[in-house]
Amino acid sequence: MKTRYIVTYIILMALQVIFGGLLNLSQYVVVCFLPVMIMSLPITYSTPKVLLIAFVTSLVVDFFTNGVLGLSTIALLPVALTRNFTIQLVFGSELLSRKEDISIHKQGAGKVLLSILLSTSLYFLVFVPVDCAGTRPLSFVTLRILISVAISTAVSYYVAGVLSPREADRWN
Amino acid sequence: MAGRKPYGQVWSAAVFLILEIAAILMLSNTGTLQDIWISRASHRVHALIWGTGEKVRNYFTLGEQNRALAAKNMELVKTIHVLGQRNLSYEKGHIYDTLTGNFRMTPATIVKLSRNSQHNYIILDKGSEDGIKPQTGIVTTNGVVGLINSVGKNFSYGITLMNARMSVSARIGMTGMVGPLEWDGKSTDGAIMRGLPLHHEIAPGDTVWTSGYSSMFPPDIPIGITGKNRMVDGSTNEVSVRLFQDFSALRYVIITENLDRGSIEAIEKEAVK
Repeated sequence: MKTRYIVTYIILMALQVIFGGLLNLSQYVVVCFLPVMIMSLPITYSTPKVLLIAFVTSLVVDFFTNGVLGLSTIALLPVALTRNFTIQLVFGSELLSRKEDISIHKQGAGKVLLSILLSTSLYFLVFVPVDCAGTRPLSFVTLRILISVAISTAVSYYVAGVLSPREADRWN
Repeated sequence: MAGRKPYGQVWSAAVFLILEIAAILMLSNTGTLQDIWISRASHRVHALIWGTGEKVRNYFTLGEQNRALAAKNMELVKTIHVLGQRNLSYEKGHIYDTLTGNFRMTPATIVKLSRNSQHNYIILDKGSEDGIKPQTGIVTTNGVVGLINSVGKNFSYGITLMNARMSVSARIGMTGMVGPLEWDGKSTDGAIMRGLPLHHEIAPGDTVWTSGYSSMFPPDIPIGITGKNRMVDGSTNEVSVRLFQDFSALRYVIITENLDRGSIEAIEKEAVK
């Protein structure tokens, strides 16, 4: 993994800490682009490796955001586990066969946006109920999931652009 | 790609489970709300597992329960059989009631019962061959029906309480006043107790019992309940009685014979001399 990618990844983690902990927009809005960071990891990474990266990333974010360790982890691990399945579903099996990383330029904005939407939805479907811990009504939980997915998907699209490899500097 | 191989998928699932469990443990340690929530969910899962286990266990112990039920059923069948035999002897023979005096009781079926005159009568399917004698009582569990006047070989004839010539010694309450009870001459479940002393208060709703002073009827058979009372000729009270036994719904009766009657009458005759 190139240094630039690692630095970008760490910067994005820091930004996630700021978005998650310092910028409280509303109780209905949670901005999170951790799923897209996991989806954008090199396609050559095996699922256990992706799981470990997701585990560490989310723990660091949890530690600096709210101190509740494991909150993001619980939601991010299913995203990491289903990453290959989501990629195959949205981009087809060719991407996995060619070991080609996800790129807005190559795969197109629509497919990338769809994969972001799926992974972000899965993340918030777990994160919001666990965060509310049965203390909020279903209507609140549902609304929070919908709004958070919508905003986070939009933000994640730009994050995907940042992490997306260009023709000039391919990973391998 | 390792994740696409079968063992790779198992490995991925194992890593996922380990990390997810670690995350849950961390979350329950650091988040108070989440800790409560996870505990509650855990309890629910435990309850579900234990409940299902209990159902499965119950299912497999059904055989044992069935055996226990069969044994219980057998006991009930035996009891019914014993009671049935008792009923049979009740039908064919007599029951000796020593609790209410030395009375012999014989069940009988009404062959004929008149209800539409002032001198109503009854014919029963038991006669001298069944050991029935004249001047014996006819009762039911709901009260007094009448008395046997004459006995044939297989049938017996008697007069009922719905007869102007018949009266029964009755008591108001278990320890109250005793007086003669007669038919009111109008209804199939109405009677009157006459000649009651004025100084006793009679409360409506008291139970009227056989007094036992008559040699024909056992004591303490419930007859009816008191109704309104009124003064007669300024010297006595009379009270209406609503009978428990409605004569319009009568089918089976019991003939009561006091086995000590002979001795009692002998003493009476002796005393008169």
